[in-house]
Amino acid sequence: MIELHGLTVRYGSTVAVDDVHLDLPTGKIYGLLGRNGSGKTSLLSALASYRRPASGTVRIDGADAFENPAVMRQTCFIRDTLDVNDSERVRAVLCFAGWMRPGWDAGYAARLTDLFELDPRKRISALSRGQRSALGAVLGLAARAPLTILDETYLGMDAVARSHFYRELLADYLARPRTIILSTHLIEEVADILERVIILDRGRVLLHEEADELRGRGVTVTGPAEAVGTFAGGHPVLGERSLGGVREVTLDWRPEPADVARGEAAGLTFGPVGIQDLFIHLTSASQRLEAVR
Amino acid sequence: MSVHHALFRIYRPIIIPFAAILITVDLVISGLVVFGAGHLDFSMWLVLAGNAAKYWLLVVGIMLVVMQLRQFVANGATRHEFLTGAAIFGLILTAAFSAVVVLGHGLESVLLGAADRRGGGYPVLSATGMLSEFGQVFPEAVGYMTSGALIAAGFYRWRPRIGLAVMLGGAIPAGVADALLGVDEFGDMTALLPYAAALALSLAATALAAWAFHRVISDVPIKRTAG
Repeated sequence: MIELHGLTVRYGSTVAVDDVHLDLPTGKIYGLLGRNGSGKTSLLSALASYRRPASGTVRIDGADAFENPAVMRQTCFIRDTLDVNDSERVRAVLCFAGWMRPGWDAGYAARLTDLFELDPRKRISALSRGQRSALGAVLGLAARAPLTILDETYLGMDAVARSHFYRELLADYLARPRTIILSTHLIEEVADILERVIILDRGRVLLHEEADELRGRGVTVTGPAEAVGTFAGGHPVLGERSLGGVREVTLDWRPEPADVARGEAAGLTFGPVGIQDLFIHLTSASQRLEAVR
Repeated sequence: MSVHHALFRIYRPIIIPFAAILITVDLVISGLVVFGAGHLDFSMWLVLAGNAAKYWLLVVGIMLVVMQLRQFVANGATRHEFLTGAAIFGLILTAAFSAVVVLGHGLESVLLGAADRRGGGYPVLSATGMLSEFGQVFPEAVGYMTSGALIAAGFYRWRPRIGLAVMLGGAIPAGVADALLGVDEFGDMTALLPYAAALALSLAATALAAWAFHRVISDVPIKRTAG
């Protein structure tokens, strides 16, 4: 179990992570979502012991994480800007990971390097943004660390590389289950592989739910404005738009079949709300939502 | 693999060419001086290798923080493990370089003597002199490396203005060692104090800087860049 209790990260007077409490069962793929500046990287930095929290604790399997050799050896944190030296060659970076990482799989790293078409002789400074991200993906996956944290590892990758990355991540996770935390803005692309979703907003946890629960959590209701208004009354409205006499509202509510039948009888149509849509609604109207709750 | 083992493997491709360049430059310049003047009045090896070694070790101290700290922590080492490994690596490296400086001086002394090219001012090095020269060069090298590490740590942890303030303190071990234990090209100690007092003061300054370095790094946020 990964436990974050009262976790606060500050940069001078700026509070990046504000009193976060999270209990994360291990052996799952988590999606950490949040807008720019919501505190995702700061939270992950504290979790990976890259930064000592201003207050609060991070415990992994009951042990304090910060400067704990057993925990750090089992943790792999890949930041969007890689923690490698630009003057080094790809081969040297992989070799170094092999020296230091107890679970490093050199054969798998070589296969991934081929898959992403990375030239091991190239210097890091000569890699494109997407190739650097691909190297991050190789380092993160081949380390086979029980806690793998990938912070926007897809940046600059083209669609083919991203597809390879998601496929390899899922395949390797299924073959060797571990805890993987993905921080991403490309929500739709990863939505299908996430098991749990955490949404951060302004340094606080806005939501922490099973991805399946989240997928069925909201509903869009479309139809005549008056009928929609009547149907939606009393339920938390995440977003709405109108065109002529037609109105569409997104509700943070899971209607029962009887409710759907009643709505359809009134000329309403219902649609699912994807995780990305829900994320947009929640984070762009978080204060309103919290007020409704 | 332990941190110090990994550090030796990282630095091996740098150390070997550095030593080769140093030996080549020394042989060429010494040869030119001997060819031109007929003899050598001072130790070219002490001038070149003595200075190159200590300034290179200062740079290694800087590189350990700027380049290696982040790399090791990103691959699962704690800051404490890194500090311990860097200390072992640093001590072995400085001892080895100090030994090379002293042995090189001894070899130069023998070769010039055999060729009858030693001038009147040349610092002839005996077997017992080697030990005392090592006793001067080694603590000076450790002081330089510690200075480099502390100066870099100040800039890595804080903003440049605070880094500059730390730099002043960080320069103390190198400055004290140089002033109290420095060996000139004639093999003379430039110190104004007896050796034991000079050594004690130099080691105290280095130990203080090493303690400060440990405090600065032990919980430093792992940043992408310094400053």
